[in-house]
Amino acid sequence: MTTYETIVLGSSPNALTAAAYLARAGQRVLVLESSLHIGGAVTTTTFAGEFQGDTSFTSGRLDDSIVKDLKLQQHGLEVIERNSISSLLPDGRSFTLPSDRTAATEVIGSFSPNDADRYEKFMALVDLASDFLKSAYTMTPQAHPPTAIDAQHMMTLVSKLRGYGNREMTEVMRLLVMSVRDLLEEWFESPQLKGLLGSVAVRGLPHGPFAGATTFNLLHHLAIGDGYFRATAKGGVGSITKALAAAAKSHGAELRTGAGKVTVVITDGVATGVELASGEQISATQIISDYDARYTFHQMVDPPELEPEFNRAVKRIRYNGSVARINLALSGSPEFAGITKEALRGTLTLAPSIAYLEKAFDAAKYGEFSDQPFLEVTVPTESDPTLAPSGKHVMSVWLQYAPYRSNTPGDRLLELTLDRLSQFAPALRSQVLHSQVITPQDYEQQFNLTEGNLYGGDMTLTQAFYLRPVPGFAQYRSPLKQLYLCGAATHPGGGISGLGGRNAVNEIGVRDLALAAKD
Amino acid sequence: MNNHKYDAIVIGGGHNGLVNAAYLAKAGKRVLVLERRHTVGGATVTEEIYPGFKYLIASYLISLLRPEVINDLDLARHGLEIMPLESTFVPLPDGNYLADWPDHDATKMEIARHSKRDAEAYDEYARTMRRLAVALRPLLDMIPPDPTSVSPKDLETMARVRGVLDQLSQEDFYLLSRLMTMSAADFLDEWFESPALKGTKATSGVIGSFMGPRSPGSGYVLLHHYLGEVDGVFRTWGFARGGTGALSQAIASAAREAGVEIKLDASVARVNVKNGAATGVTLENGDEYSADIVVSNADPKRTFLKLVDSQHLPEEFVHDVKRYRISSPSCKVNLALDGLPEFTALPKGKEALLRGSIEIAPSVDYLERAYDDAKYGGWAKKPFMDALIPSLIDPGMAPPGKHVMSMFVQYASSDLEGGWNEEKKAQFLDTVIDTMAEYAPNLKDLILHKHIMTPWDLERTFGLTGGHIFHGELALQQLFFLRPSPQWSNYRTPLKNLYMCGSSTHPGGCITGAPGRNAALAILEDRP
Ligand SMILES: Cc1cc2nc3c(=O)[nH]c(=O)nc-3n(C[C@H](O)[C@H](O)[C@H](O)COP(=O)(O)OP(=O)(O)OC[C@H]3O[C@@H](n4cnc5c(N)ncnc54)[C@H](O)[C@@H]3O)c2cc1C
Ligand SMILES: Cc1cc2nc3c(=O)[nH]c(=O)nc-3n(C[C@H](O)[C@H](O)[C@H](O)COP(=O)(O)OP(=O)(O)OC[C@H]3O[C@@H](n4cnc5c(N)ncnc54)[C@H](O)[C@@H]3O)c2cc1C
Repeated sequence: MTTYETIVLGSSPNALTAAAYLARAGQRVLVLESSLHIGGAVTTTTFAGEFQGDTSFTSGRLDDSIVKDLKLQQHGLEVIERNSISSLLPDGRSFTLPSDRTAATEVIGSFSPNDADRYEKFMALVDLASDFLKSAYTMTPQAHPPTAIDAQHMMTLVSKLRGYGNREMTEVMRLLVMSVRDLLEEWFESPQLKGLLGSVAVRGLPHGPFAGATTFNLLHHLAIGDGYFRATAKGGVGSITKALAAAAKSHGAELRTGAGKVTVVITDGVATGVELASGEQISATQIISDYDARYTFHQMVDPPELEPEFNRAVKRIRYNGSVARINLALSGSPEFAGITKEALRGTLTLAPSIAYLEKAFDAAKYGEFSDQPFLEVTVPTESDPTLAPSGKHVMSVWLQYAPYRSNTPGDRLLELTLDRLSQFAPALRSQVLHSQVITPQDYEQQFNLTEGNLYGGDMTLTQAFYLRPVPGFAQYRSPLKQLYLCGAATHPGGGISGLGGRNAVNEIGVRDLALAAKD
Repeated sequence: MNNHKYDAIVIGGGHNGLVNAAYLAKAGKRVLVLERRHTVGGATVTEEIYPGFKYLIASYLISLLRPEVINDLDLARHGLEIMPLESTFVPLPDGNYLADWPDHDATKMEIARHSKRDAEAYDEYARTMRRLAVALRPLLDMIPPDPTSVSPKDLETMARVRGVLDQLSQEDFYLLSRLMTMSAADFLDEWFESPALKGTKATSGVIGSFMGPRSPGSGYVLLHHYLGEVDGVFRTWGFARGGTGALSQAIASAAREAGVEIKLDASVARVNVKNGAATGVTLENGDEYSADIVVSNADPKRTFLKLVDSQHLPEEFVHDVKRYRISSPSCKVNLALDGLPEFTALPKGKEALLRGSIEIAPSVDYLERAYDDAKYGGWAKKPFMDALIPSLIDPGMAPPGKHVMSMFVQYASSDLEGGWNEEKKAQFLDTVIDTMAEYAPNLKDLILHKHIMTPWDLERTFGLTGGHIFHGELALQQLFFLRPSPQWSNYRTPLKNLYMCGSSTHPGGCITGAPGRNAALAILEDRP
């Protein structure tokens, strides 16, 4: 039996970040991925023979400090910016907002001078609020009652808030708890602009934009650099995990894929190793799970090992996967009315108004599926031709709301998506060579994501900060000694920032290893 | 032109305006209350719209009234008598029903009929909500602190707020944190499985709010409705003899006794301002009254966009008032009945249930669909209703042998597409009666007179902007130190000598008297 200091279960960016940092600190680390590909659901794989498609997220960026610390550029990371967002509107009235704010103001001015006046101020406010969130994202959430370190963190955050100014301080606090509909109604009059700006607030959520605290989800995406103007990597999002894997390996970490179902071995309440489907056992002094809390505690661990109270809390976590991914292999570059070739390098959004988004969600509440969905479309081959044979293209669609509960068949989702997009790109159907549909059910089956949730649990305030993944266990620890969490299930939640992994390492490293050293 | 000088003028004789006036007068101030209607009480009023029948055209039940107010103003001596509302009856579409009895064990047995598990969970649920409510109660009587301020007073209040949170057990602290931001439906799902029980419990999460039970944020509203005095004078929701209007009359009587002058049919047209400070008011009829301070019981939109010339206010503040959310989905229907409605689901021998709440809220989905129908500017095809037959509790409410039925109804949007008019009112009233008649088929034959207050009517009658029953949404971004606007949550306003005392201030809507009382305390801090 081999022995490691740390076994990381799963290989998302958080897992690999944790593995790389620990290996860099000299630990003997093993990463175990159940599926065939490093990255789990955050990967780019071949479909239809010669096309590369992202499996889940098609954008995201690692926190700058991680890129620097782990020298990821040397390990092949090449960032591609998506510098614009376009709103798909009927009648060719689609418009594109560039990331440059002055230029965006001009575009908005062509349909709403009032909104144009307010755009930069609005963006400045959400910048502040997401900057605040970002500060909280680099810290371990507090416990109740707070420890001395927690109190210090709180002080840092409060003085950060105060530093913004009195007015800004209360505005930021309001933003965190507001519905995005309320927020945008305060600022803008154009339904199209509100739809586009509001869409990010419901991205991945099983809620509509009318719902309280949806602005938090907008700020979350902005804080991790994946808001309006997004980024991917050359070779697809999977290249981010590949670069991380390379960095981890360069520091001596071992990586194994195709491990199948893994369970955690518990000896007298202490996690001492893992057992693979083959029966092989591997021991370690600490196990860090990148999987969500429900999967970790109810699938990888025997629930009787845990207190009923804790099991109940785990059961209460809301997952409600609401997103399906559709990858299309195209014979040529798609043409959307009113969308320039340049804008195809950005993100195209079908969210013509806040009411449209809310209606798309209405059906999902009852476990049904709306035929007027919220879509985000990217054509990664426009900026990265390596993803398809020459002249051909890949189009990737984020489809929401496709609730886990509705279990809508993939071909129906595909048909509907093609119908909707054909309104804007009439020739699209004739260009489709192949397609790949991944539903929330697929995510659950293939990647062990509970209810197909890509964020390790809904990104709501109810499950954020010190409440994530379950109240009382937001410090990356679990009730079982030597078993930790580091994935999207933990603070700061879903996305490709890697911050959960780094925070977990800091936490384990700073507190527990220090304690262990004393023992 | 008359010109009279007072220490304080209160614009509006709603229950909070009256409470405020009474506290100020008891502290020795010379106070004038100006009410635009022919009667005091605002939304806390009983009216004989149809001869012999007393209608509760707005509020109907009392629970959150602060015991301090009752004691300080000696309301019992002034005629307030509250009778506990003992039961809840929830008829279900399939002919079954759910009942909440005055007797705790009976309620448990009843719930067990729907779900054994729910009956087991019920005790713990009730205990938990009670514990949270008791822990949070001190916040109700607080003048909210300004978190941006480092003044000793604000720091002291913030420390008290922290104290309230620190004293919570770990479990309660986490639960409260979650409940504040989650939906009532999600919360109830954690406790119960029976659709009927969840439906009826979820109603507290949506009453008065333009939210569905699945809207995050409805969890707080649920809690808000539990903040009533549970171990004090009142244990649950109660009915005032004579209707809620009798409470306003009792407060008015206490106020008059303390020396308050109350003028009815006195609609304030504007707040007079000199040298950047409020100096009094001018009525629609041109009469002027001056005072050292002016207190507004009206909502912020009415106060700052209509009564005060915005040139006297900081632009930022006017912006805050404009963005304040005050759209409402709540209506009120009153029926004069020739006899008692017969509910198909009501078992023989259990007629006593009609003396309590009658709730048409068979499931969370039912409520949610009612919300969905209304949220884009429409109304519910099958509305949620919280009904009551007041004449069974207080026979004085209707002539002998006859009855009144009070129905609180949601949802019908204040921003109805195309706007409200008499025809649409009549259509929605039919929808309401048709829905109730599905449960009580003889209802239509009994109706002698019917009356509806849509958001449009609530606005026209009571001056409630958007018809909002709480003077603005109980949304997180407009609660506590953000209500009604950041930095002006302490009952003071940017206009010197002008104060706010209505439901748009902390702790918000319902018959509580708390805003009126807290505002008086803030005023007396400034002018002992
Ligand atoms: C349909 C409905 C049902 C409700 N049910 C309940 C319930 O069962 N239980 C409960 O606890 N709460 C209930 N509420 C809420 C509760 O009634 C209100 O929150 C509360 O009565 C508000 O009191 P207030 O004094 O703050 O304001 P209001 O009662 O609105 O009083 C404001 C007063 O100011 C007057 N005014 C406005 N402008 C002027 C002016 N320019 N000049 C002079 N006077 C002016 C108005 O006429 C009014 O009298 C209900 C409300 C409604 C509308
Ligand atoms: C404007 C407005 C209008 C409203 N109108 C109404 C209305 O008309 N009718 C109405 O009922 N409510 C009304 N409410 C409140 C709300 O709709 C609920 O009905 C109300 O909160 C009752 O709470 P509950 O039944 O959920 O109480 P719970 O806390 O669930 O308690 C139910 C009953 O069981 C008893 N009980 C529970 N557990 C125990 C225990 N362990 N030991 C002993 N006794 C126990 C309690 O005493 C209580 O009487 C209104 C609120 C507002 C703001």
